[in-house]
Amino acid sequence: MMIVENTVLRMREPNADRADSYRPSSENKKTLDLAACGIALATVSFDGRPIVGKGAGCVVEGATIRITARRPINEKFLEAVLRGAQVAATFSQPTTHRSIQFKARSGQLDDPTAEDYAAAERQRDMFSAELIASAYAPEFTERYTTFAPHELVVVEIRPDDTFDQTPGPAAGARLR
Amino acid sequence: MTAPDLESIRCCFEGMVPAVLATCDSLGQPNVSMISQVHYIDHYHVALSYQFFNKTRRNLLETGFASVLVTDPTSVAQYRLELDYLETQESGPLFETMKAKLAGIASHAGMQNVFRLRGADVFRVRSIANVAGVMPAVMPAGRNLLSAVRRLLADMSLATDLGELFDVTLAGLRRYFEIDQAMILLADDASSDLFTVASVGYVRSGIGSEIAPGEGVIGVAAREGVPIRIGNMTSDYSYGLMLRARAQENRLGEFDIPEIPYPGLDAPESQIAVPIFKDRRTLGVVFAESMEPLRFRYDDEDALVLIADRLGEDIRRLRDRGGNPGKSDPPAAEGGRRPISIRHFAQDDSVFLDNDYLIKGVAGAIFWKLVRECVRDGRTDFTNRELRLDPALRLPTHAENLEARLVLLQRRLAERGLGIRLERVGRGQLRLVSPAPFELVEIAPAMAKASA
Repeated sequence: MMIVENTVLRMREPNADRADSYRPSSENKKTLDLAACGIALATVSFDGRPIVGKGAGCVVEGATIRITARRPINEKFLEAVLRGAQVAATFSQPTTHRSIQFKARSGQLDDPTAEDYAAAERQRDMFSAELIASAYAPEFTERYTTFAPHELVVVEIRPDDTFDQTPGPAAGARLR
Repeated sequence: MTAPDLESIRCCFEGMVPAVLATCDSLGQPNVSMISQVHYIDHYHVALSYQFFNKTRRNLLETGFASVLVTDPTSVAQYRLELDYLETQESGPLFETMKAKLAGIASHAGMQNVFRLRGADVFRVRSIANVAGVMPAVMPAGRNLLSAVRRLLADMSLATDLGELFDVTLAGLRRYFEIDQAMILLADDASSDLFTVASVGYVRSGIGSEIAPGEGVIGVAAREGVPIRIGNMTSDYSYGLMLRARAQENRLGEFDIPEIPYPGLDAPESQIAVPIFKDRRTLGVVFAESMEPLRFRYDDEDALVLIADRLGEDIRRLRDRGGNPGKSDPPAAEGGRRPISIRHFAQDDSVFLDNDYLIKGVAGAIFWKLVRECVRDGRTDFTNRELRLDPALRLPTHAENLEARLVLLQRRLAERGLGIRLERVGRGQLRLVSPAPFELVEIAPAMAKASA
């Protein structure tokens, strides 16, 4: 069972007890705020090779996720998505290592809206706080999360599948 | 395709920033996850840590393709690497190097119970693309390690005996490399244990303290014959915890030998252990540690490998070298002073001076031979050759072992502070010097058992 409210996921997973025993006790085990996460992206090239990418922010609208991404770091990724390749996006929270992966048969490229820009800024601030709380230096964190608004593009996906990616024995379990 | 230049981006592989790994199956479905460790192997190869059998793993075995995003922790430049899977190694030097590094990463991330290395997946790097050099980084002024190596090698070439070689090496690590805590340990042929022959920067020297093969970074480096490096210390490799546990397991009886305490830092953040080789055999280990996280990088490892290699060569060069004759006091066994009691336990050749433990094993047997002949025949001068040929000493076959034992014995005697010295008086010649006569007590194995 998974319910999405804004960017916050509430979920019950299979093997919940087993998986929970491997997690920090301070963690809220049932929720994950996507806005506090790093966003890792992947797609596949025309010749069947994976292409890694990186996201900057996200907006959840019903069954659709709009992921903002910087063009300079994602050129090959964006080319493949434009060609109709499948997309995977993993959201990972640094302080808890909680991670979730969405998979979609395709993605649509779009220009960012005001809401997308605002979401990217919020994501940058929340993710930065997570990194600093995980002992990364503020100088590193600022450079790692920075973006220029004119660089941003939106990859919109409608996930067909969702998986728990939190490191441990339950990693890879499908969430419904 | 431009030739991969992994050398220039090695700092991306220190494990400070998790990498992103993308794979796909043969139907074109991608998978993406964070990965703890991308390990630099050589100019064309990296290895990824295989920790769980999951979709990533299945994809790798199915297609053999991977795409990885790595980040330079200093400049924050990011690189996309396209990789072709070659093989998985589940044991051996590469595996152990990655296991130690992963343990440090897991400790730093609070994931000690989750991250366990199952294998080192080896990949050939097809291409490297710099995808995000956000802005030029202000690079901190680094140490010039090439210059440091050159200067330390020059100092080492002037050493005239083994003890001086060890001291010069450690002093140079401090002076040229700014390494404040370091040790040199040599391997015992019989037990394969490593014993400390020199140290710098510790509250106590720990000369004579022992590390078993496989224990911590020192023991793993010796056993596997590869440098082992940890940037964020973990309990898996903590000597403090390891030795406390061992002490609790072997609660000492009255006549058991108290171990010489390991001198290392209680809570180091970074450690590096580099094997010393001679004729492809691991002769010992150069070890350094620091309170600073990630103190030792790939470049430090390269530099210390050069120093350790030279140590191996110089140990061969200096075997049997007596060094410059020092000034010598009158020979042993002067009268008029309270005798120094020397007890020898035959079962393990441990020796006690006035009830305080001195040394055991081969070094203990050598000392017992010297004091026994001194008392019996009045001899004070001995040769390396006669020690080497004495079957009772059961010296290992390799010549440098005698020299190492003599350095160990000299230093333990100096630390005990009773004035007993073992002086070099010429090439391959030793003189036993003492301010007081000896009173010898031999304790046979049966007696020791009965007493205990």
